Amino acid sequence: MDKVTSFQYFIFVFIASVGVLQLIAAGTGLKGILFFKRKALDYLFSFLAIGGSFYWFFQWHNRIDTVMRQTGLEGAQQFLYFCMATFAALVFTLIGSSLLKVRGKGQPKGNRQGLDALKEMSYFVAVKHSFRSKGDK
Amino acid sequence: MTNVDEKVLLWINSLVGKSAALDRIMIWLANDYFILAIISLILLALWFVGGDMAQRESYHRAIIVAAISMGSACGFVLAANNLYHHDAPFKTMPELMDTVNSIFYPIVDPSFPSNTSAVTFAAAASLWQKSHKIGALMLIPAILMPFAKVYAAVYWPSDVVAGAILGVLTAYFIKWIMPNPLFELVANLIFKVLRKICLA
Repeated sequence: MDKVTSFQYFIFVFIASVGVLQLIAAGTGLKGILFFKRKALDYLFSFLAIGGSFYWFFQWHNRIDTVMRQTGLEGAQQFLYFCMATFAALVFTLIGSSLLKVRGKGQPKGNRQGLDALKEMSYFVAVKHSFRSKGDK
Repeated sequence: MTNVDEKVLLWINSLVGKSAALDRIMIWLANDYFILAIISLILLALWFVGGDMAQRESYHRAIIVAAISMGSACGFVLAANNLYHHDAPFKTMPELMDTVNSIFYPIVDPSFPSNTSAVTFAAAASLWQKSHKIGALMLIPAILMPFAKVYAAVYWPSDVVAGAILGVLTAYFIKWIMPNPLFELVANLIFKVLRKICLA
């Protein structure tokens, strides 16, 4: 019988994490890392990503009653692959959202720092602004 | 104690097969990945919560404590496995094997203390110290997953209670040893870098 593989777990966490990041960004107003201009689309994307990843990982071919009925990934492996997949999801979100916002929103507004900067500008612009503002001082 | 353990386990386990819906819920809750993925995704989401930088940093510290506590709890469980050992319920009572197979699968690791409850309670107790509201929310999956494993006769109730105590103690221990100059130095440096690259 097949087992749950580390690759499958990685893909599951990656897609679910992208969904969670979009959901939380839409909820907390971090507009800079949203994929869509309309919040409703972001919420829809989040629910599809989270729901779809859970459905695929657990229910596709009834995996919860077949491949998951034996030892798969150990706790330490789950932790390792979760961290890797979450990091990949974060990088994907930051790059993807910045590329989608490459037109418009070019100039930084306000003087927010850290995560707060992402409420007004894309990630690339925010990082550029963050390093420039240090140089200005 | 053993008698009480057995009575509680058999009472909970007697519910298997009575309701298809309840069995289905327990299959999901006992699953190796489902609850742990939900807890980890909540921790990820909490990283971005907080009205201002100071509030956010307190969440970040709680998440770091939770992650370290979950990992340390696993280590303490391994150490405890070597100090005391008793067989899982389905090994002591082979007649329970059918219920084990209908909900979960026969585990090969030692059952005392429960690794599952140690990890889930470590996460809940870490967040409880930051916010009782979030801690209480995390307590729901922390209780449900080990309960589902008792339902499936994979763990004794005492395994779960011992795991929970170990998880809570680990979370408070980690929180207690954290405020030292070396940790503050490293943490402040990491937060400074993360703020510079707009991730904290």
